[in-house]
Amino acid sequence: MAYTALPTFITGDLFTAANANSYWRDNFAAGAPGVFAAAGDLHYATGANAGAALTIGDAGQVLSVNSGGTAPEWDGSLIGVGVSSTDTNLVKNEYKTVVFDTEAFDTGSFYSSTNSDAVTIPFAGVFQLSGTVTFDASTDGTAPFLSVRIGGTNMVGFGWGYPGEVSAISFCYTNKFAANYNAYLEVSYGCTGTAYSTDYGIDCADYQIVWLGTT
Amino acid sequence: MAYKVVPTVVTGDYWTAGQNNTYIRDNFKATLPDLWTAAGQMVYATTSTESFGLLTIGTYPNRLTVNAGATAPEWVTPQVNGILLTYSGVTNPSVDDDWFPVSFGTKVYDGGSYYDSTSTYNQIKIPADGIYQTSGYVYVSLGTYNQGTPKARIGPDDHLVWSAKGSINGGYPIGTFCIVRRYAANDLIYLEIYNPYEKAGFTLREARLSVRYLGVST
Repeated sequence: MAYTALPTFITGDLFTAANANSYWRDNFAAGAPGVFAAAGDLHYATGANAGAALTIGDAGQVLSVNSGGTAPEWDGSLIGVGVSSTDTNLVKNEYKTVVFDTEAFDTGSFYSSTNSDAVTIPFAGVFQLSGTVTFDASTDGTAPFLSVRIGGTNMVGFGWGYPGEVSAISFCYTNKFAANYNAYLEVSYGCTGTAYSTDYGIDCADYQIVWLGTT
Repeated sequence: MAYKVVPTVVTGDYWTAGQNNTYIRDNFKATLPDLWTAAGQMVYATTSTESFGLLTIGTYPNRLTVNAGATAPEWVTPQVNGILLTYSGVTNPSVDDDWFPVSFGTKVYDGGSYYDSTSTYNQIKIPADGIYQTSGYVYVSLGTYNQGTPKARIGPDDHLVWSAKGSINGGYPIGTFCIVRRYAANDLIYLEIYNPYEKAGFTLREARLSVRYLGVST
């Protein structure tokens, strides 16, 4: 029910039923508590001289600004992304960017399936980047060294593979990032011996970025 | 236009045009939704009775919190309650087969007065009792003949967080850790690495130590 500002009345004016409906009934209905429908409703502006009720959220949610910056909203406190990839072949002594094909959650537009090797920090702040990369078992009897890095420069994991055994590297990396930083994930293997079989690579990788706040 | 309390009327009273203007028109103009000027505004009380203020919408991803004076709500971007220290360089621990404290050279951020400048090594002092997450990594290089086991541990209780038994000569292992523990106020958090063997060449190349407050627990 829209709000209508009252005109000024003077003695002798006729105040009609329609006036009462428009200026009293509808205006009370357009304000608080008129817009409230259930316990927990909050009253906020939808524009000049107009308001609406925000329904109470779920337990544990916090009041936040929506992504358009136009209204409050209840949501979870976590802003982040969780993505994973499946089998990827590697080239010896070269970093290869992990292409993610599964998105577990994305509450901040970090990831797009149309640009699936990029994971972009959406705004400036402090973020925690974590994950696990599982490497295939080597098949040529030697032990490769394994590396994981983020954004092309930040080394976050290094380990050794063992002949015939699967290896995993876990990482947990916290840093302050600028907006639009491409926190893509890269993996590599190397060795000083002969080349590995052509199917050597990672069996899977999972990668999470969680916003912690600002400083 | 200030809100005016509407008087009680009884049968036989006249409701004049002036009263209508004062108690109906002006009171509507003194309250919502007439006072809304922009989308996203919210209302809160500024005194205990019949006075309120408009809270302008913040910017994404602001959260609503209580202001410093505990007198009004405000939209803010949450501050990280924690600290991040980094080390980058080449340091050769002078003593073999012993623990070596990392002296961090760079403070990336300190949200909560964690940094303790009074010590070269114990550079993080827990500001209040609570549950904290401590994470980071050490990046070392082993000497050509070094077959030992580099390790890392976290103070104040020398909690072992990484070891790389069987590291190969000349390798560059990275040890990543992430632990959650309860700390008391003024606990000193430090990071130490273990220089594993007597052969020369073991060096610390990078290190990172982050402490973040998670909350309290009864």
